Amino acid sequence: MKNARSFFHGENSRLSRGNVCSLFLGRAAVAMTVLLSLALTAFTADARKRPAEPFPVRSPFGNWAVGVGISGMGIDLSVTTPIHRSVMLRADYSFVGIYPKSEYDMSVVNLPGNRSFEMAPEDLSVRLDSHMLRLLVDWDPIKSGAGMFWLTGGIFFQNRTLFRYQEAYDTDIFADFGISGQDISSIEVINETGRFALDPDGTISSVLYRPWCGAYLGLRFGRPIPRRLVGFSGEIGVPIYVGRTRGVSSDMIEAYNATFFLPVFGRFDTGVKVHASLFFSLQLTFRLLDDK
Amino acid sequence: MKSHKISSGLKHLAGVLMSCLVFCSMFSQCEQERSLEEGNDVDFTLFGLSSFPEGLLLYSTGATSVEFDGKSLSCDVPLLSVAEEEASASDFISMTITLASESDLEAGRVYDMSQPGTEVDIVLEYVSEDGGELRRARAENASMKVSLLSDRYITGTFSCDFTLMLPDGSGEAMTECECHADKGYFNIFLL
Repeated sequence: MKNARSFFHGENSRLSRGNVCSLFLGRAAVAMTVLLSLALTAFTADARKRPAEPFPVRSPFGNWAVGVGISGMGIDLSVTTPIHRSVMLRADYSFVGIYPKSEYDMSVVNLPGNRSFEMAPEDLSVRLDSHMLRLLVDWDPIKSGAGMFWLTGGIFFQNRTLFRYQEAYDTDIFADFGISGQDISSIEVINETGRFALDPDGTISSVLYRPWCGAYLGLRFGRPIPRRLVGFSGEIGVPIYVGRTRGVSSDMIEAYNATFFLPVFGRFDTGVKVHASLFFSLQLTFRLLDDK
Repeated sequence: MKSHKISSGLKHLAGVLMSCLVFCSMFSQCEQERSLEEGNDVDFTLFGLSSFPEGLLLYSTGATSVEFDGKSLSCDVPLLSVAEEEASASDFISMTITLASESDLEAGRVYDMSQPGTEVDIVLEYVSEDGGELRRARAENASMKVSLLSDRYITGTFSCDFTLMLPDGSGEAMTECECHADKGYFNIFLL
């Protein structure tokens, strides 16, 4: 176990981010495979079955479509309107909120003076909140709005605090043993994730911050405003962030395991950097007005 | 073809079992590492001894004869001293703690003898330098607070007064010495 702990110690921040990165890449690979197979099927079926019909030329703001689906950032909602026959303006909102419940497990508390006892936190909260608003332009460079493949790009905004974890211990118990105020930071707590020094307010916490805005480039298949009332579309792209990603947590003395409830421990700050990740979504789109 | 499928399936199963074993062993090791470190079961500082004007820290890392039934707790704790020099006129051997209440013991509650239906009895065994006679001193004004109570441990604080028979300054006569046990701590394993 010492070897395992030394492996985690000093590597933990990179390891935890590496785990998250691998998870996203894996999911993106699966989504790309699904999207490409669906695209080929839809494109082939469409070409086989549908007789040639003239595609409606849509005037600026002459029609609207709404979309609902899933994405790598949670539930996806969108609104689209044309500003040119081959250019669409789209607002896309993705959100996910995960608030898992965890049973209060006993931790080991070490007080100064060689005193140790078991104690459960009196409160435990875990929150994963992601809200992303993308303002995008979809462009069909080949078929003047009738095509199935569109380039998409724009800007996006998102909430900065992505993840928050906190477990709180009853400071009145520590006062029984003559420890209060700033002295509480001399208390160690051992849980399944590692060994921590308590914050002076009697808590162990971890917060992950991300950049609040960036640019987006992607590829969309399926028409933003479907020809029929209902259509299907998918998208894969690259959000590009310029900013800092920061992890802030209580003083960690020793790391054992990253868990879902505390995936970020230790403190890190990437500084102002350019980051890129993957975004994918699958949507059902609904045309709101009849084409003239 | 069939044998290839069986072989492939067995390899897959072996991989799953190995992964489970590795995961379970890591988890159990984590649990072992997370178990209580060897901390004191009982410790307190005894004030009033002429040899230790700033108090003598006495502690124990093991409790014996532990009995707990929800309404009462009793145990014996052998005592050790952190004094580096043999400057004490006495050796403190052990302490017997008894806490009993008519209702179930509760966390967050203070117990003392002034409460009806409550018994708080702390007895200190010690040896003075007058021939090694084992003496017992029963605590006065004993008070115990149960801070934490679970299925496994009872944890809290205590304080009390002792009247000890100790040699006087000349070392020829025994005299009563009023001592006070303060900052007392107990963490007794109940299972």
